[in-house]
Amino acid sequence: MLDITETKELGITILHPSGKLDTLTANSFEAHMTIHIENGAGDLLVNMEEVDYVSSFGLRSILIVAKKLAPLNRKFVLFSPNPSVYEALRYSGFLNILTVMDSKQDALAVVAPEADGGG
Amino acid sequence: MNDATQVFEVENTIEALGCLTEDLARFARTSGLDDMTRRTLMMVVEELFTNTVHYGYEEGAVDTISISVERVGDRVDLVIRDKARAFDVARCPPYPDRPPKLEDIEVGGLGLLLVHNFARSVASRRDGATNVTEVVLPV
Repeated sequence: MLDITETKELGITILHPSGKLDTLTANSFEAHMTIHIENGAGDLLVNMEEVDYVSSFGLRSILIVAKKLAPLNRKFVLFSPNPSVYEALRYSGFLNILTVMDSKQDALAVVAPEADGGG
Repeated sequence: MNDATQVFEVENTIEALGCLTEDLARFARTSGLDDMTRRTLMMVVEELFTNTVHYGYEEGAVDTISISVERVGDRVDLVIRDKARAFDVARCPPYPDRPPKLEDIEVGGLGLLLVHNFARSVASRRDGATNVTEVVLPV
């Protein structure tokens, strides 16, 4: 089971998946993200805080989203992964190819640097 | 195997994964495993189970896959038994040689790579027609 909610901050879409990003949920995650890619514009942030764990199918869906966004010059940033998710991203080599930040503030600073540090 | 060992027997279908991971989460709670170990257990079982179901059988072949788990001090012993085609999961796939461009990256072999990185040890043997996969996870 994976629920996905959405918020906007500084005009940036932030998606909040909650649950396991695994064999059974990867397709729905990818489909949800694809809707945002095809119907939306701008950068995309994903709050990983409530993602319990990520399996290889989940990693595959993240990679597919990243590949779709890259040619559109839209940034794709993950933030706040728990230690299990972070280790899965590290072991798979994804930390070398994706932007993964510790916090929402750090993630927003990547996509809207002019809005960061304003106090 | 002792009283602390729990055995889950499930059909070789992907649909069985949902109930299996719930059973594993319950085992983790009753065994006092922390969140990191619980997640590792669920992820490792998912990878091995999914691998077997996707690639181990002729189309329509029916099997019951047995997953036994036991907490032994600072480790969790996991044993998976199935009658799928023989496949050596004990061999760790090479660390992906990441090309510089995102567009060129493929995701083959990622599941086993995760299993080997999260586990303390992974062994597999053939016992007659049965594959026996033994994994030790750190607590």
